[in-house]
Amino acid sequence: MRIRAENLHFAYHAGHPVLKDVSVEVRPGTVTALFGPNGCGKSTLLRCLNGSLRPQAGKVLLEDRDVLTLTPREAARRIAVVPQDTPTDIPFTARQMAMLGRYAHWDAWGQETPDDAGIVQESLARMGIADLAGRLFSELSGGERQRVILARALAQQAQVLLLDEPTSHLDIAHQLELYHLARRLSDEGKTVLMVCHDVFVAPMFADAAVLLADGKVLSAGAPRDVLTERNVARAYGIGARIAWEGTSSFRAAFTSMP
Amino acid sequence: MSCRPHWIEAKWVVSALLVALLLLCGVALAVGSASLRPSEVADALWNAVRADAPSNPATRIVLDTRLPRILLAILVGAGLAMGGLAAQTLFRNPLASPYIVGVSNGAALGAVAGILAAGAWLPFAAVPTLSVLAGLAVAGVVFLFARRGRHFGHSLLLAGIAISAFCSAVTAGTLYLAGERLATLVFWLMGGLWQANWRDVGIMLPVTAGCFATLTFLAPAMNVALVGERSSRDLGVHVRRLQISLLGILAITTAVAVSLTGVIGFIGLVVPHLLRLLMGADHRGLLPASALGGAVLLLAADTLARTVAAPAEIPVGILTALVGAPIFLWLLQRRNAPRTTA
Repeated sequence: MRIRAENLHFAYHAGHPVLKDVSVEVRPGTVTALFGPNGCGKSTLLRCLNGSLRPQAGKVLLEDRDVLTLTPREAARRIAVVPQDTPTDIPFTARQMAMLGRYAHWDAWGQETPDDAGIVQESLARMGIADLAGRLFSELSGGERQRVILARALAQQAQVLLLDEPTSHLDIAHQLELYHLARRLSDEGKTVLMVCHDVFVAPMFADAAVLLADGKVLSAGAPRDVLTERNVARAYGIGARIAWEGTSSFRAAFTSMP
Repeated sequence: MSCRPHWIEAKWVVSALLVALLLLCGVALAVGSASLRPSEVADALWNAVRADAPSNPATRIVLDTRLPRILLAILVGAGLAMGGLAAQTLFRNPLASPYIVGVSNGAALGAVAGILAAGAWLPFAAVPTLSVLAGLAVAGVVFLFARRGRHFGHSLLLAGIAISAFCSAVTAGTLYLAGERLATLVFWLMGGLWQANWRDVGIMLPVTAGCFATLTFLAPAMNVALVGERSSRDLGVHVRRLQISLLGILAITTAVAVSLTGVIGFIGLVVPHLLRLLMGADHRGLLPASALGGAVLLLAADTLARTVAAPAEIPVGILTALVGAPIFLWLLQRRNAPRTTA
């Protein structure tokens, strides 16, 4: 499923726009990395993309359908979101937490079926945490919790995955594993958009990059064309020396003053 | 490191509570200011289903006094506990109670006004009606104030606290001016089931049943709601609709319960919380367990309330608070303590 934002304008408070004329397209079978400094509107954009927020202008199209015409349940069957944070004080096991991903597939009188149990178990296994299924969510490590939430998103069986800093609680090995997973999911035909802070590792796995700064798209396209010295320096307000090696990795040095 | 929760399966908790409730019913039918032998209780119950029932004192005590009171205790206890569960999920706060949005203080104010007006220009039967209306009005006002807030749950809580305080101030003022009727009013405010009759049972039954049915329907969405407003929207829950449904059910159940029995504290707070510790947060098991747990607790407390100082009665609201407050404190310190086992 292709997801496309057209000329989005969004403000939480009138006069303080967070998104200004943002257009983004994410194609099926690709991983798109969304870069940008803190507070530039990345999470807000994600929330517009799945219809949680209603932009003041512009629209989001899922294939040809306006995402705002979907009910929350319909949206959740098509678009799965991995949030930055999940409350940890819920007395759920990892399995129960992942099972919430199945909610959108139940009808109004819906009950859990054996199929659901199988899908959840498979999702947990895919994240390498099948053995944690019966453990208490609150007592897992940050990385383990993050993988439970990712398993929940997999259990949603949505064609579009929106990941909001999915690697934030993961060590470097688990980060790489996560990028590989995103890659595999996109190879299966899913549409993956990932908010990233990691300008070094992410380009190895991303087909496309979008750089957002101050609520506007500063640059979009192949990672190599987006993460240029000039763009990075402008977006983050830092000094950057970047030497690309091929299309997927680079050496870089950053300084705090431009 | 052992992190597997030591939870008890829902079916065992529900079965145990059901057995406890039945045993308790037997005890509650037998004990009281006139103590009855089991055979007399059985006779009385048998008389109830027979067409040509002889009317003896034991039968009258059982059928006219104890049975409606027991049923009302069960229905109100279940209603308050389910209301508490709805509140704790709605606010994602395990220390919330069904009174938190001010419904109880509104209903109490309505009842106090009703009692003062009754006899003067209102029939006494108008008191529960007035009380329900006032309770629902408060919920409505709280909702209107909270509606515009971006964090609905948060705004609801704050508006509830403010309006609650306002209502209780008006109630206190009314009490100050109540003069000779003060005793009646205070006794009512403390909460109790001594006035229970079949009409009350007839009013509470559909409310509790409706509350149970609706929450059963909402249980899967309530599970999702625990992860917060944003994430539950992302997982497919119509958040605002769920919140309004929970608030509505909570308001109706609590307002009707308070109008019939006064303000009975702690049941709605303690029962769902204790059961959550025992069986985890899955609402599909937590809901029937809470309903039964509330019924057991209120029936036990009410049976004590009418027997410990017989023939005098202790308002059951005092008993539930006396027992409930230490439990609450225990929960609080347990919550703050580092957790070794679940």
